[in-house]
Amino acid sequence: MRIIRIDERLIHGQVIIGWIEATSIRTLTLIHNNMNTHYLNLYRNMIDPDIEFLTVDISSDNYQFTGRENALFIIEDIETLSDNCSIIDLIKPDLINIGGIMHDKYDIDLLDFVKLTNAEANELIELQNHYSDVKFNARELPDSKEHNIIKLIKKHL
Amino acid sequence: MNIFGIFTGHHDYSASAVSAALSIIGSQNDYRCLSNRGRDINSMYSDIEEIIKSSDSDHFFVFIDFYGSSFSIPATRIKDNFNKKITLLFGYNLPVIVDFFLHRPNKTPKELYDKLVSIGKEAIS
Repeated sequence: MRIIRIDERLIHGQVIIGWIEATSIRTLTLIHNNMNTHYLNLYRNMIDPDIEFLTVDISSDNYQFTGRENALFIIEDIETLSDNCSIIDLIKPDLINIGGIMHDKYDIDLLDFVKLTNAEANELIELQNHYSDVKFNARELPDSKEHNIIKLIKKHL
Repeated sequence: MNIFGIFTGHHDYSASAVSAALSIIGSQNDYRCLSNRGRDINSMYSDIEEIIKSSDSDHFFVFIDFYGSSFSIPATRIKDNFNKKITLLFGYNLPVIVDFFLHRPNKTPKELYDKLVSIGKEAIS
């Protein structure tokens, strides 16, 4: 299982404990845009040493993704993923999971943990149209309620 | 030195834990409790920053429920930006909160930090 999780908090309690401890995920990749080493190390130190922790800087040329099959890839926002579709092409995920997007300024209040601008909603729809073989959902934890994010957005647009 | 306490955590953890501590030692001033509920990373940072900017305290202890929780990065950014005025303490329990309030009037931030880390560890047996 290869999952891309979009979460503006990146790595935090739900990811460290909720996902990694409760699933068979063995590799966690933090996808970032030129984040400084100080903060990358902070994130690295949050992860159990038994879990393979990788970082991929999408501001660099020819970035690649490695890691085992059961892998979770964390990215900050929809816009970054939408602007860099090669991430999806390279990872070939089974699932794109919205884990938490909570702006102060948003247009659509979809769920407690998903509040999107219209632009983000449209970008997500476009991504789903382009990658129709990939499942899209919104879910905080592996055992919490799963939401059909595309259906929810379409209701609101 | 006047030391302000900012207690952060998941859902009601900080407010409930501090409330429990105050039921033991009585009411206190110069502290705030923050929750991550419904807050994004930038809001969590702003919540802490606002407290610091609006207070005339000399020093601030920011308590984070555990290393890796969603307040970890905002609190670390606060430390980076306000450096000398901030002490971060990850992983706090009831004895830590009680001793923070009891000992903050007569200790330096470094002495208080060492005391709280020691108390927190000793409290688990």
